[in-house]
Amino acid sequence: MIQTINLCKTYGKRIIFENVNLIIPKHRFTFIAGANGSGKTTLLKCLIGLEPYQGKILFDTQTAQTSPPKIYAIYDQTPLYDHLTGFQNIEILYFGNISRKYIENKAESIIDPELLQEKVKHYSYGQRKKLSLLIALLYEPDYLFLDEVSNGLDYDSLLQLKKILKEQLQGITVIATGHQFDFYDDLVDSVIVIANQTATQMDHIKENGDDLVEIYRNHMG
Amino acid sequence: MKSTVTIWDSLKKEFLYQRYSHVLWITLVSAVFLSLVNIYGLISKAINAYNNYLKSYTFYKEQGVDVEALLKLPGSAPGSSLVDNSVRYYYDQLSSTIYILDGVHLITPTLEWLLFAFCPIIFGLYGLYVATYDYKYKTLKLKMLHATPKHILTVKFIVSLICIIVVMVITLIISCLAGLVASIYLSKKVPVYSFPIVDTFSIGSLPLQLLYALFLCIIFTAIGFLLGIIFKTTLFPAILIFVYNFFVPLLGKYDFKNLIASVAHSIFSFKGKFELIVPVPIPVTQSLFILLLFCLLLIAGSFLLFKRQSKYTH
Repeated sequence: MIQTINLCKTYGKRIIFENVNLIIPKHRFTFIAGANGSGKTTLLKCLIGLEPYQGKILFDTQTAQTSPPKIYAIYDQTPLYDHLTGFQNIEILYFGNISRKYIENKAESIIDPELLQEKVKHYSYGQRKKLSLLIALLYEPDYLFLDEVSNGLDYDSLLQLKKILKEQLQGITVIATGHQFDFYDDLVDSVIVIANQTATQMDHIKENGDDLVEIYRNHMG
Repeated sequence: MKSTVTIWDSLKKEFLYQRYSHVLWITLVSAVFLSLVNIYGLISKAINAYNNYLKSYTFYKEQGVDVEALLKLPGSAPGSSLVDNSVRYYYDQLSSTIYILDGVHLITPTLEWLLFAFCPIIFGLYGLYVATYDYKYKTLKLKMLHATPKHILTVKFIVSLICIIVVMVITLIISCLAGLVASIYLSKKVPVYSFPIVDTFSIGSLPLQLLYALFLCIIFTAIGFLLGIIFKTTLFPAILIFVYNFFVPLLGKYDFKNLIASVAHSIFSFKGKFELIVPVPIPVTQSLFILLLFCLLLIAGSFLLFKRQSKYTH
């Protein structure tokens, strides 16, 4: 569980959001929605510790300073070392030691293991996303952040990515940002809508059969 | 956020990256290649000196001059660069080059050649690359999930320091071995045993030279690091490093190059192929103190700037 207490973020005099109080449920998929420039990515950056903020962020009642959580993030641009192979990227970007056999076994359901021997600069956009996802899943994080992960993918890649997310993210607390509501529709358990410098949270989306677009429209006025 | 990975794990990853990206090999191969160029230059110097010695010897002999007596006189007046006695001058040049090419004696001229002519470029570019590759591939925001900026930069500095030592040690070993091969080759072209050194000369204290070499390589790498962190790219800082080293003249006694030369002339003998600029006079201790301060400022500046930069965009 992630809890934010009176979370505020400003850039100079510009307030991005203030007094945001959220409880992001454990082992659930939480989707952060909002218009461009509303502060979705800023909230994500605060949660993963890439931005300073006012207020408190607790991971299972502990701050990241006292007890660093096991987190991983997949970003829109899929940062990878283009001039290295998929395997070499995994070896460097996976935080720990891992055997090639284990990588190959885990890779089978996500990406063609043969492809991991090629340099990443030859990968398609979708293949880069899958490699990033593979690294994330190998790491087995408690918290996985997906920053506009569906952007720029073609229809088939979107379907494949969605299938992987559905099957492989059990037991992980996922926090995603994005704009493609139809992609996230049947994945999401909880929604946070950021608008007018504050955030509103709705839970039990899947159980209630709520529609993301409708929720978004209602909150954006 | 605190670092969740140990320094040891991060060091292994950094080594792995440098291995896979070939930056270590490129640095090593460049240094070894340039040291071999130096040896080739020394062989040429020895052969030229021998040919000139023979010409001078024959010329004076034909003129009825007592050449053996000439060989007992100095080649030039003390403190003068003018050659008064070409037979002795070329004899000294040849005998000192033969002496230098022999095994460990080659370490000092190799250091002189590499350290003052090429290391500012080699290690400047190396530091630049290591500092900027995570900006280039935008992987800092992944590393930042598990480590603090201080942790990331410390790891890069430690690995760079180890790589500097490895590159220097391997280069010097290969250089010494190549020097032995060069000596054998030279003995087939020149009767080397006929040219023993008449006036023994000191090539300086080797441990001190090695220590100064390590210190300068750290400074060159730290310059690359700071420029990389400021500009977040390699091209412009690389041009800056080239221009400053090869095209900017000496700017006065507090110029970085002058400070380096001032200390270098008190440690090295420059009896090999390379001759360092004569520095504008400045006390050696003052130069050393400024260089130390400069090194500390470079490292502190790198940490400070790196900490203040946004990691999300990179």
